[in-house]
Amino acid sequence: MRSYALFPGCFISARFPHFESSTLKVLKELGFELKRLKGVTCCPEPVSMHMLNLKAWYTVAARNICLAEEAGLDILTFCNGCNATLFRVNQDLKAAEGLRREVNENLKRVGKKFEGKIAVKSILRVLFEEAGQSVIKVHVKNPLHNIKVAVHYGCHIFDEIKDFDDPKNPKSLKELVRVLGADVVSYPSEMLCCAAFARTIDKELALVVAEEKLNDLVDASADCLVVICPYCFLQYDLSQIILTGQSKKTFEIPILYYPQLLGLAMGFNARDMRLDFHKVKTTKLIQLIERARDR
Amino acid sequence: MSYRLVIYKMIKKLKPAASPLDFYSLLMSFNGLGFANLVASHKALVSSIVEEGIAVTVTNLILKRRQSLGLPPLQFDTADTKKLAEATGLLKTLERLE
Repeated sequence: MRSYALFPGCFISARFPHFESSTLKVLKELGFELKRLKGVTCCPEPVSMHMLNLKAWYTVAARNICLAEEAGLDILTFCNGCNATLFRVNQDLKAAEGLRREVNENLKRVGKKFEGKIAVKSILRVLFEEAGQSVIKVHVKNPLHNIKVAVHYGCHIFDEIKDFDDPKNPKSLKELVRVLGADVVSYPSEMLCCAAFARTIDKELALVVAEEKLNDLVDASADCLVVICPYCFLQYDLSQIILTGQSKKTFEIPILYYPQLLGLAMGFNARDMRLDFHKVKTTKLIQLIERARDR
Repeated sequence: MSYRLVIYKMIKKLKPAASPLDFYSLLMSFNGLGFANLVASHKALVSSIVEEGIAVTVTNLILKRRQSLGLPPLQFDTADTKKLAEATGLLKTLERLE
């Protein structure tokens, strides 16, 4: 397996560090080597700075990419948002000479220069393409037989996803769940945005959109929902608590970040994957997994 | 259709070529309806990136949690980010939004 420059992103590092620790455990077991970059910043987040000052967005992102170029390593992102920014900036600067010149002019102030020498890849892509199903299967010690798993890709991954999957009908995350022995359940709102972006401006709207998917998951009898973005995780994990608190309905659908599910199938336990940090309890899911293991 | 979407469509009709910043003063007049929170929240996030190098508030709980997980302490650059914010005009953008 290859080495990568690690870019966990600030949302995972500073809100869900257990995603960082569990993914590192899993990747180490799969034979990946990861190097931490010194001096990183927020990617920057793909909406806010992009909206307020596009040049700044390109330049700050380019600086992060330069750090990986100096290390001679491709970037591995853990967060869809980081992937959306770094993947797009990397592509655009490689393709557009004028933009690259402009960004490099600003980067001179901090002694950096974007060369366009590396790639930016998401955890989904690296596990799907590079580890692949055959390698992952070898590491599965606790097949998740009869566990019904629903998947949610999120939105920001769809810029990169067209390079390795069909954006209109993506299969990569489903294949990565199936290789663990689990059943993938389909549901109507599978491609619906989590609406986490709406939480700061219209909490009610954000809850209504989350509730639509949660209702579909209940109808599909999903034992859990697997995500690859920390913001999607926050939206679905937290919304269930809020909706239950509003006495609208009781939802108990555990939300897992894919590497956590992979870790459970590889033989790590719930404590290793720090499922105790999730708001929606994963007790029933763990019992199902243990039952599947003991059969 | 929520009233927020209705208001947004009305604003676009009045000034279709306007940038998000040009909308800001108009949106502020709708303060309290939650719409102006959109730009304010973007400004807060970007200011955090410039000042702290990170978009998220770091709490003591998280610092302890990282330690308990065997993860290194959080370290984000601020010096280079401020220089780039100045060079690209981002600091001026944020000042205009005061």
